Amino acid sequence: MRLGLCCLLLPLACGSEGSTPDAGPTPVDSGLPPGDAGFDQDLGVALDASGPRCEVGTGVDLFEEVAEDQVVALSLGPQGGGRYSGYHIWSSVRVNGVAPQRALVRFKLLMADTGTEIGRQERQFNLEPSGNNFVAYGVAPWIDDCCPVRNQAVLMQVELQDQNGLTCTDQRRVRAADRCPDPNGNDICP
Amino acid sequence: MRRWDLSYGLALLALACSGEKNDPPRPSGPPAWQVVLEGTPGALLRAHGTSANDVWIVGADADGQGPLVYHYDGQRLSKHDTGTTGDLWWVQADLSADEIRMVGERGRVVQYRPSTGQFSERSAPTTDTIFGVWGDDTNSAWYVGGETSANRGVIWRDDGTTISAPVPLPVATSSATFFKAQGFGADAVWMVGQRGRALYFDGQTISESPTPTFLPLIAVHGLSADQVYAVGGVADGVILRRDGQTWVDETPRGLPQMSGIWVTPDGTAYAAGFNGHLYVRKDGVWSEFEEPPTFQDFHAIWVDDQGGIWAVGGRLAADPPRDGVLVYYGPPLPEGIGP
Repeated sequence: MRLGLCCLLLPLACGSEGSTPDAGPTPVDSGLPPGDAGFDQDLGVALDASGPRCEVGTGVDLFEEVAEDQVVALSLGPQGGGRYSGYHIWSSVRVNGVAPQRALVRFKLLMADTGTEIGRQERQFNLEPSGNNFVAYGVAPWIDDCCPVRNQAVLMQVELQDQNGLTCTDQRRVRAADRCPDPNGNDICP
Repeated sequence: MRRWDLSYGLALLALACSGEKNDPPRPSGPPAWQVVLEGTPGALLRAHGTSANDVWIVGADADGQGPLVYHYDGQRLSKHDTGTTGDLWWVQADLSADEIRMVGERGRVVQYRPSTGQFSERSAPTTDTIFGVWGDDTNSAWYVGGETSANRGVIWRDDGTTISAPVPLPVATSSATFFKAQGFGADAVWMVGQRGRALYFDGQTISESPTPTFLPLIAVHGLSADQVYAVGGVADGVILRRDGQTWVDETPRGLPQMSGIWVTPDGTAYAAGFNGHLYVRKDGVWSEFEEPPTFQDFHAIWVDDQGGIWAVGGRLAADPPRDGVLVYYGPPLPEGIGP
């Protein structure tokens, strides 16, 4: 049976301050450096003494790290609402210390200056192995209205809960691109 | 919410006829979800057919090698090369005994004649995407689409020779893309699109039918013009039912975006959408299928004449949509059906 979608209203911890290439997820709140992650084939859980760790990123076909204040594209889905709920910021997550099957992942986008939620998407995944980690990518939290988001600081947040109830969170501050592009790359906003 | 009981599927299939005498033998076994295709380069966007042994599946052209087109004949699934490029968003397999019609990107209209095995291509006079087609014969088809980022729509009529816009063109096309059309004869055609827009053609004029939602309506289907469902949404989903003169909101609590709807002759409605969610309405109650066969997004659903359920989708937020999936619920399909 599916996990209830309402059970993931987790308090968001403060996000990590970014990550170095190939470092994998950094702890959300322990402050400990990443340990040597192992993988228990029986449990299907990537084990790490410091517990579940998430790293929010971007990417449609793979997990791509995203740096603080990195400019991220506002992408148009081919079918949907257009300016209103037709654009998204590709979101992904890299995680360890969780069971990969049927993980429930919620991505949120918030205006960094006000904390106003501007987009969200929640979905279940069978997380893909990626080295000592697991990843999920190609998630499209739809933005309520693309135009006011252009060139604004945005918080990308992720909350993940595995089927055993283990949870982790992360967030990054990024900057939205300066246009909501139509298929020809021209800004649609008045 | 009450979950759909698989025993219903068993009963439904037991009630269905066993097919024509010349149908190839199929393996025996209880009905179950089967992943027929997954990981195709482009997303699969519609499955539709005339029977359980004549199913067409179309999809996106994610690798520039042409749109995905498959046909299942009850024994094998074969891949077809249309000789065209660009995504194909919709297919109608029952337009006539000798024509399968497909529509898609940049106004493309692709026709296939089973008698000759030939594909041919025409174009509507638009560079916009045609998302939907419905016709009651080859000389009376409707195409709907538009440019979603501009919230602009197009509607075309095809008399078999000329593709032209209806006059007058509905005002709603200036502010909404239209995604699907479904008719019940030449004088009863529904069209749905962005901002909860629903249009109805009564044989003379196209008029707007107010709905209780501003969410995009992505698909429409039903048994008659007065018994029709429209589904859609973005983060949140919506299901509307036409109850005679008005649209009634039947959205179950927590429904995510729905993109596909199909109603069987007995009135059972199936809806498919985001993250592999599948719903069925029976005895007036919507309930969710337990154990989805995929976590991909469904774009369309179709139920064949033997009760088999076909659902297609992929990563639909990507442009072009990619990573396609085709799932089937029913008795075991023949092994090694290909392609």
